[in-house]
Amino acid sequence: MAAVAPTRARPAKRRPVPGGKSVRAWWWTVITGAALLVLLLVHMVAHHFVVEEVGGLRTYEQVLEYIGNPLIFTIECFFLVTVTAHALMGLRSVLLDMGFGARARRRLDAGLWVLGIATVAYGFFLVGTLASRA
Amino acid sequence: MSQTTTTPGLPGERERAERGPVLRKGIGPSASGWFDPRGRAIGSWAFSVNRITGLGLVFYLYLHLGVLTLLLAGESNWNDFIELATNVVFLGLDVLLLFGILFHGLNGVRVALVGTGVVPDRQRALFWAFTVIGTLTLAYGAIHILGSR
Repeated sequence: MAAVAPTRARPAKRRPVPGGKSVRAWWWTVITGAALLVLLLVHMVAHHFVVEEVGGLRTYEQVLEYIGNPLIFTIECFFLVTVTAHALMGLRSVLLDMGFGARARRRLDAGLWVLGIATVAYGFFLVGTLASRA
Repeated sequence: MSQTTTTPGLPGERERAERGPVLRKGIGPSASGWFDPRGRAIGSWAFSVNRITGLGLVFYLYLHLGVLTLLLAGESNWNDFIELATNVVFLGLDVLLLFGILFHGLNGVRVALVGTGVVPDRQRALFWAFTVIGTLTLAYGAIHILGSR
């Protein structure tokens, strides 16, 4: 009888894959980065390259007029969510290179979620308040 | 005659079965090696600069949100800030910001094109092409920003 080659036991279907979450985060960083190419270009040009003021900065009235436009308001809100997600996922990848353990990673992820939600909430409050004054 | 399909004593089998922390330190050089010039390829330098500009942009994001809070305080506060922000030092910092955005953005496109497999074997060519595009855009932006005074 032919010898059977030694094999390892079949691995469990749901096993921890080191880097699995980070791979997903990398893809989300790419997707949000691609969106930011458009959103940041719109933001930069609209704010700083079409305004004929010193330094390309809008006056108070010009800011209210700008953010009072519903289309611009929507774009700016989308921009805020995208840039916050991209920034915090990038920060996560830098911090994870410091070699944290599993527990510290979970704490880091939870902390970044809280920071991200707080950032977006504050940004919405800011643009919402300004839009209401327009 | 019966045979088992597993044989005890495979190399590393016992270590693999042991529970313990997953010690994974990521794919890039450690932060302490970001400025180490020894044995560095151009892509490795780009990685370091990408991280530094990224951290700078995260800092700027929160600085920007903080500064925009002045808008809530009313017209006079915002217009006072504009006076400050349009002096030549701040405009110079705007050019530095534009450099960070351009480097991080264009290098990000390069990394995404290579990493997703769209252009897997042209990373050096992409680096130099984006360097030219970025330099020209930065020059245009700097003239626009500093020339606005």
